[in-house]
Amino acid sequence: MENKGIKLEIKDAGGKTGVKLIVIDGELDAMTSVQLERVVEPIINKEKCLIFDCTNLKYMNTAGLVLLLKCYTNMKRKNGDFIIVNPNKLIYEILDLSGMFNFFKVYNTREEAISSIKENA
Amino acid sequence: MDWLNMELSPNLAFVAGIRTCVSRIAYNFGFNEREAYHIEMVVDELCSNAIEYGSKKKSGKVRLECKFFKNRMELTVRDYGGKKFDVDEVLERGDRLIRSKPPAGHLPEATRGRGLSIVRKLVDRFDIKTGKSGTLVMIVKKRSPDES
Repeated sequence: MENKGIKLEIKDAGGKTGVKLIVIDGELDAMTSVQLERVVEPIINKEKCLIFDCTNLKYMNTAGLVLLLKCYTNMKRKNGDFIIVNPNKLIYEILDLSGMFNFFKVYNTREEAISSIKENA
Repeated sequence: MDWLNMELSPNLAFVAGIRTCVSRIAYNFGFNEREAYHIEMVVDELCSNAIEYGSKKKSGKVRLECKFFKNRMELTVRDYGGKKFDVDEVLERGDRLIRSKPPAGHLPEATRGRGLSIVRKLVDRFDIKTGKSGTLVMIVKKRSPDES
């Protein structure tokens, strides 16, 4: 799953059932968020928890923010969970000033994110 | 003062290249990494809006002008069509979406509308004029003093 703007890798998270990890590499904007949304939709319908690993996400605009909010609301609607891992400091600032931390959980590492699911289970 | 002008047909495929280009140039003119990132977001949002909402006709165009001064950058994005909109209403809605903290059991609005409010937070001056002949957005982004 690749184009010039974004590369996505979908993984099982630590062998846990119902938890999917999507590793995002590249830029999330009006063009690439459409691509990510297509990938995410069937996962949201099927899984209990969705984790976005943003370690290699270099840029995100408001189209990306809206997609994150959609993921969050769709997972919450079915009592699921949505977690962000390790956004860089520039993206973190944008998430902060756009009010996203009123909703999302953000962890520094995949391991922390995955263990938080266990703790909350 | 140095300057850069661009004119483009209304196609979102331009935006990634233009935002990266302007941001890189700003960095070369002495803006730090964080400021250049803010400029990249501002260019992205303003050009995307001008293409999506200000250029309904295929013959439409969007014009971007950047002026680089010693301590700041001035940027204008202009479109020549689209529908007139209530600027205060758009900004108020964006601010409300950003501030919103739904009570327990309620979910946030996963809708668009935050873009201009975020742009306003990232810049030092923000002006917008809209009318029958299109929309003009002008921003000023100041540069941090050199650390050396």
